[in-house]
Order: sequence, then C-alpha cells, then structure tokens
Amino acid sequence: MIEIYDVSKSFGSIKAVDAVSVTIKENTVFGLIGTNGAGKSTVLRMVAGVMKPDEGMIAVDNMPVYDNVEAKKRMFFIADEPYFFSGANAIIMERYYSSIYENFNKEEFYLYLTKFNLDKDRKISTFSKGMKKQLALLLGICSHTKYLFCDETFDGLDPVMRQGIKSIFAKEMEERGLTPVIASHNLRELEDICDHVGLLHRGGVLLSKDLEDMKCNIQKVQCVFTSAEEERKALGNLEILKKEQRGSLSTITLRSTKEEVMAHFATVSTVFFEVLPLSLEEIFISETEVVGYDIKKLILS
Amino acid sequence: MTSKNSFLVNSKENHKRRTWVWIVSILAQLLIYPSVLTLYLGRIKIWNKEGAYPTEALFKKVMYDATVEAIGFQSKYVIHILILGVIIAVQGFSYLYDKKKVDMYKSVPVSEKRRFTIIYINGILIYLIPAFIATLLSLLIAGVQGAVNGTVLAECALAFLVNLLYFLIVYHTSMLAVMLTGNLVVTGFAVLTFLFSGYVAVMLYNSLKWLFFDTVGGLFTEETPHKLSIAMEYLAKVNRLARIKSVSSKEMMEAILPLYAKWFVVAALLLALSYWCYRKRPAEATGQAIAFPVIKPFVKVFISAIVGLSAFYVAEDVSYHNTAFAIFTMVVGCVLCCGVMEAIYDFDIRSVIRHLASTGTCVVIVIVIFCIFQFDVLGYDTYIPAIDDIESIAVDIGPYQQYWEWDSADESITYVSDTSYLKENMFLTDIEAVCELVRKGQGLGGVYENDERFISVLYRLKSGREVSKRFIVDWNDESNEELLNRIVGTKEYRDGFYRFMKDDIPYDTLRKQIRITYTNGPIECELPSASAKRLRDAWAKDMEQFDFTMAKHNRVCGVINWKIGNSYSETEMPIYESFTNTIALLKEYEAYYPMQLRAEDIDGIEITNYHVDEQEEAEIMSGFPEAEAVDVVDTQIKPVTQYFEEPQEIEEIIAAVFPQEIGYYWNSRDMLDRNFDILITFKTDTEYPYGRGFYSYKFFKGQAPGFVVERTAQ
Repeated sequence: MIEIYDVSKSFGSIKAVDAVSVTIKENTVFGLIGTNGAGKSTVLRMVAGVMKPDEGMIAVDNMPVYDNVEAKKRMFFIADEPYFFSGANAIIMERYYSSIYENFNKEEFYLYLTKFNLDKDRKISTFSKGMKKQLALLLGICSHTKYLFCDETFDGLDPVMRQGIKSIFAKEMEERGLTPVIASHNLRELEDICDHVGLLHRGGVLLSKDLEDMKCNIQKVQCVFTSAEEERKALGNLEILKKEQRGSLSTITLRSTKEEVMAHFATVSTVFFEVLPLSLEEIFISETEVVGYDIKKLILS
Repeated sequence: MTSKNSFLVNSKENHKRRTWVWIVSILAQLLIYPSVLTLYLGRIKIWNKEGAYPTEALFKKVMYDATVEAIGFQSKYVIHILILGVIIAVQGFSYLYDKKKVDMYKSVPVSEKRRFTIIYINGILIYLIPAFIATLLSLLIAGVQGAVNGTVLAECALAFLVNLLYFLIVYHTSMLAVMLTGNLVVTGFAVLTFLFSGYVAVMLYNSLKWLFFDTVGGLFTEETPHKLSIAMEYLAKVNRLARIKSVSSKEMMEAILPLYAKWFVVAALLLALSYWCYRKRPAEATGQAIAFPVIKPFVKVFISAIVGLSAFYVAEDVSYHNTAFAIFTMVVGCVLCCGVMEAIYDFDIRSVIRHLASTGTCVVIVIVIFCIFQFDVLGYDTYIPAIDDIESIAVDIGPYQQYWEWDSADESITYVSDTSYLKENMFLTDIEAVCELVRKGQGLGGVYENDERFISVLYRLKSGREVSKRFIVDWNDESNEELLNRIVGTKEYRDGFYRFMKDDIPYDTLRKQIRITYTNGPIECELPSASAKRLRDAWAKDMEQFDFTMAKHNRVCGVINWKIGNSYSETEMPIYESFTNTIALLKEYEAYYPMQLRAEDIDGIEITNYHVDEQEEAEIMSGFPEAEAVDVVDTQIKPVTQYFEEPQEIEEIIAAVFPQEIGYYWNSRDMLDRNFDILITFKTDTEYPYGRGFYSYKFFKGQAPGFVVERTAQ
C-alpha cells in the first residue's frame, strides 16, 4: 500500500502540490487524473522517490520512499518522457534494468518484445514516441516490481496496444499482485483500465474513489412520466444530481444503486423508463459538480 | 558470481556510459607522456651522435634529465590534467542536468550514496589507469634506452602523486560546480570561477593597491596571486619543484610534503562539500542555472564586484587617471554584470532588471571598496608595525648587487634574486632607525622628483608574520644621514647586503670557476684566481669603515668584478680610495691604476652636448603635449660635437670627468651631467694599459669647463 499523507511541494513561489493525501491500495489500478499543471507528475515523482516532498510523508509498504533502496526495489517509474541510453537498443536497456532489478524477467521481456513487434536490435532513438512508451512499459512490467508508476504513459498508445498492455496488467495483477499507478490528463484513457481514481486539481485532491463505487452509486435514468403528478411523486424522494428535459423525455442523474432505482420507479407510472450506462466522464461530471467544480473545464476540454 | 545490483555490477554499468571519456583519457595520456619522452630521448641521441656531449657521463645525465622533463615535475601538463579533470567530473554527473535522466536514475533502487561513489571512483579510475600505464610505459621506454635511475624513478613517482592530487582538486572542484548548477554552460562558468576567480581577485587586489597606495611593493613583496587558485598554484609549485636538484634533499621534502598535505586537505574538503551538495541538491534543480537559489545573490555580488572593480582599474588606466570617469565605469560595469547574472539565472533577457536590491547592494559594496582604497581607510600607507612587535628588519638600500648561493652538495653556484638573498641574510636590529626613516619617508607621499629613492623594507614580526613595504628616502636630505648611518654602517647590514661579506665561499674549490678583474674604467686588469681569498679578506677588512656618510660623499676609485661559473653576470666589490688594504693588495698584483687620468696619455677628447636640459625646458615652455613637443623641439635643438686636443683643454676636462660605465653607487644620482657625452681617445704608447684605446666619460654636474660649454652651445 502506498500512503501519501499531507504532501506538499513548491517550485519557487509556485505550489505544485498542496497537502495531498491519498491511499493507493494494492492490486488495484490507480488512476491519477488532472489537468496539465495539476501536480500529477510531481506527485508521481515524489512517490517514485525522485523528488523529496517539502512537507508530508510518503510511505510504500510502510517504508519512507526517498533515497530508500528497499522501497524502490518495489517500484518502477516510467516518466512522461522515458529515458533510454544514447545509442541503446532494447537489449542494452534490458541489461541495465536486469542489473538493477533482481526479479527482472528477461525471457518474458523478449517474449513481449516479439508480441509487440518491437525490434530488440533496433536503436531506440529510431523508435516512434508510442514505441518508446511501449518499451518503457515492458521494461517496467518485466522488472517485476510490485508498483508500476506510469506518467502519461498511455497517452499516444493506439487502442490495440492499450488493450495489449491492459491484458498484461490484468495478468500481472492476478499472478503477482501488480499495482499500476497511472497518471493522465485524459479521463477517457483511464476509463477502461482503472479501479480507483484520484482527481487532482491545482495541487490538491478533489476526490479519490473506487470507480465501481462511483458507478454503483450514481445512476442515469431516461423516462417519460404519464403526468406531472407522477413525476413529482417519482422524484420527490430521490437525491438528484442532474436533470435534463427534452419535451416529455426526462434524463435524470441521481445518487442511488441500480436496484433501488428500479424498485423506486416500479412504483411510479411511466410511459417509458430505462436505466442507462454511465461513462466515467459523466460520473466525474456529476461528482465534481457536487463539490462545486465544472469538470469539463478541468479535464475534458 | 556477482549478484545483481551489486556495487561492481552498478560500477560496470556506469563505465559503459562513459566509454568516450575513457577514450579521451587514454588518448590524452598514453599518447602524450610516451610520445614526448620518445621525442626528447631521440633528439638527445641525435645530438650525441653529432658530438654535443663529450663524455658518456654527461650524455647519461642529459638522458636522465630528459626523462624527468617528460614525466617528472612539469608545468606543461597543467592544461591537459585540468581539462581531463573537468571533462571526467562533468560527464560523470551530467545526468543531473537532464530531467529524463534524473527521473530514471533517482527512481531505480540504487542509493544516492552508492551512485555518487560509483561515479566518483570510476572518474578517478578513468584518469588514474591511463596515467599509470602511460607513466609505466614511459619508464620502460626510458629504461630500455638507459635513461632511468633511482633518482629519476623517485622524481617521477613524486610527480605522479602531485599530478594525481592536482587532478583530484580539479575533479572535485568541477564536481562541486556541477552540484551547484543545473546546466553545462553555467557549470563551465562555475568551474572557471572556482579555479581562477581567486587568482583574479588577488591580482585585482594587488593592482588596486599599486594604484592607490604609495608604500605598496618593494623587492620583498611576493606577488602570489596563485595562493587562492590551485589551478595557478600548480604552475608555480611544480616549476619550483622542477628546479630542486636533489629529489631526496631536505629542500625537496620541505617543499613537497606541505604541498601534498595542503592539496590533500583541499581535495578532501572539496570532495566533502561536493558530496554534501549532491545529497542536498533537489531533483527540480535540473535545467536551472543555480541549483541552490540561496547562493544566487552571493554569487551575483561576488562576480559583479570583481567585474565592477576591474572596470574601474581599466578605466583609470585608459582615461589617464580620470577618477570620476573610472567610478562611473565601475558602477555601470557592476550594474551590467548584475543584469547579465540575473539573465543567466532565469535564462531570460527580460530578467536583467530583477532583484534590484542585490544589484544595489553590489554597487554599494564596490563603492565602499573604492572608498577604502581611495581614502586608505585601513591605513595601509601609514602602517608601521609597533617597534616592540618587530623581531628584525631587512632593507634594500644601496646599489644593485648580484647574488648567488654556493651549493655544497654538487659544488655549484646558483644565482638568486636580491629579494631572496636579503630576506635570508639581512637581520637589522636597530629597528627604531628604520622605523624613523620610514616615518619620514611617509611624509613625502609618493613624490619622486629629486633624488628620492624607493627603499624596500621587510618587517619580520615576532608573531612570525612578515610585512613588506616600500618607502621614499630623500637622498640629499642631510637629516637622514644619521639614520642611514645607523642602518648602513652596521655589520648586520654589510653582512646581509654585500655577498662577499658572507664567509661561506670555498675559494679553493671555486678557483677554476672564478675570473677576477679590477677596473677603473678604461683599464681592466685580470687578477690571479689564487688571490681570491686574500682579496676578499682585505676588502672585508676595509669595509669595516663603511657607512652611509663615507659611501655618499666619496666616489669609488675602481671596482673588482667577480665572474663565477658560467654566468654572464658579475658580482662587484666597489673600491674607495680609503680601502688601503685592498689597494695595497691590488698594487702587489700590479693591478691597481688610479682613476684620475693623466693628460699625457690622452690623444684627444670628443665631446657631444645633447642640450638635454635646454630641450626639456623648451618642451615645458612650448606647452605642447609631451609627445608633440619632442617632435617640435627636436627640430630646433641639435646635438653639438666638438673635438679637444690642446693639452691645457685636456687637463681641465679630465679633472671634471667620471667613467661612464662605473655606477654612481651610493653617490647622488644626479652627480653626473646628462647633457654631455665624452669620448676620450688614448695614445697607444702609454705606460698604462688602456685596453680598447678609448673610453666614455661624463662630466660631474656643474663642472663642465666653460670653454666646452661655449664651444658646444647652439
């Protein structure tokens, strides 16, 4: 488990991270969402032990992380622009990381290289941006660390590759309890990967929740009521987050479980009623609007 | 089997990233040392074939010297060691400049301490292994050619250690520069600042002292700007070590052991500071000009103050001492430098006007420093140590002397500077007399108009400190005579000032190397070298009557010149008419001839009047600037030459002349008339041996006969 407690970091007069407290549970995919400059990379670099927090504490499996080799043995950090040695190919990078990480799996690495069509003899400098990110991810995965920190790593990966990486994550999580932490400014990129999401804004955490919890507790309903009286009766006891009306068709976002919604609307007379699936984006819109933010301005625009 | 992530594995990985530095180091050292040695030895062998070395022993000695010159103490290697030190340090830690590299290296499970140690040790190996192999290879090459013996080996070993320590200092300094900065260009500036700013600062301080103070300088002042710059100290120290003849001598040990100790301590301190900065350096410093913002104002003020004061010095010089202009230039230079520093800090030209408070502080500091110098706030010019604090004093009063030391180890003469000789040999104890003379000289300020003379004084304080100053003595001020007699008339002075007063000369050993001549000007007689000791003893006895009054009011009647060894220089013994013991001995060797000329020996006298006084007067009257006045006046006043051969005229002329090539020694400098050049031609059939047959003379001031003045007038 990674505990980030009341961590702050300033660069000169700019406060990049302001009293962030987040807990990252093991064996989950944690998404760190935020706009450019929200502090995602700074948080990740502090968690990876690259930077020292000005205030607060970061612990990886109850160990302080900064300049702590034991803590770092459990993590692999893929920066937004991963560094490869000048003139190196995949083999040279493998040799380096396998000399550093005790559990680096060479066979697996070369197997993945083949699967991802990455030439092990080709100079990395000739790789595309996406290929470099794939290579960095494979190096990270094959290092067999418990935690894998990815800073904007999925940005630029094509859907096929994303799916491939996602499959590897699933396999590694199942086999050895890998805990990927993925920072991104793009909510849509994390939607199908993350289990838990933390939203950073202006250096602080707006919210941190399990996606499943969020999805279970917010529902979107489309319906046509038989009368205004029925509508009042139906909506009166619900915690409505948002309501849109187009003619007689009402689209309502509300905080409740699906079962409760179904049971509730069964008692109401409707011409049409349907529970719609919610996208992560819609969940975030709803959640952040509750705390007074317009998410579209934060990360979707 | 080496385990993963071990020190050795990490170290090997680090070496892989430093291949090009290895190549540079190998090329730089393996090519330079053996190549230079091979060239030296080859050249000497060719010369030997041509017969340059008559004996096998001499040939061997030259070969040994060549090996030492190639791989011993040699300042010529300073640049290549310096460049290697900088390259190895900067390349090793250059990952700190790059965010991508920092992200990778700092996130992997290798401790900061281990990473530093690996990069640091590998850096030393990159220098050390090629240096060691190159030295070994050179010694093998030299050994095969018979150019190595125990002494050569010992010197090469000592030099190897000196070079290693110097490398470490440069290496650690460059590491510190990397730790304090965030990009390569600023690191370059920082390295230059660390290595040379101390030297520049001391040079500037010395220059300003010369500019502002009257008592600065003197022979005993040791200009040692390298004290604050080990980069420059290497040059000074290694050259000194190279001059020491015996590698196992006490002198070598006294010179090299403190050097080793000092450089080791400096290197250790720099390493500790570098490591501390490395640990404290934040990852976010990557790409910044300065890694620790807290030091920015101090760096800015330090560099801008040096630039501002340097601008002042240059402006003073180019504006012919226009102080107002120089102050303006100083302030502008300081402000501009502050602006440039701010622009460098932020990599933004618009930042030149940032942090005006520190810019203002800097301007105030340079103005304060200027005022300290201008108004001599610290009392530099008026400083005289308290008499009770002074152990002894050395002064340099008197005519120039040639000094040398006898090296009993290899029975040779080493010429030394007057400064070091007087420093080692003169210990005056009439401190009150010197201090009183200095006090009177201070009253004259820096005026140097008549026959004032700059005197160097070295105060040796009881605390062990030495203070060197210079002051002015008015040579013709009779009130100084008593004080000067209390100084010059002492045995301490004579023993310290005159080389031949020192009783350490092995005359018998030196016999074959000495050539002694006596001259009164036109006549020069060689004395047998066997007479050396008798001459010296007679002269030393005569010198017991020597004091300032005697020397100032009497003219020398001849000079005994000693030429020792292969030097072109001669050490002089001035002879006065009252030196009866010496003159008697000279007469015994039939070498004494009076200085007073005999009219019957003279064929004729050619006198040229250059009218120097008139010319100067005309320049002043013309009001032209100096350079133009010379041109104008030159066209109006011409030298006039006349020839005199009448016996009566010759009688009158020779009564008023003095040999031009014999110095004025302790007499007044303006004893001779500078307007006239006199060339006396001697007859060929004279009793006296007038060597060349002619000789140049000068009139005593104001004693040129009227008919000469008249006939050589315009």
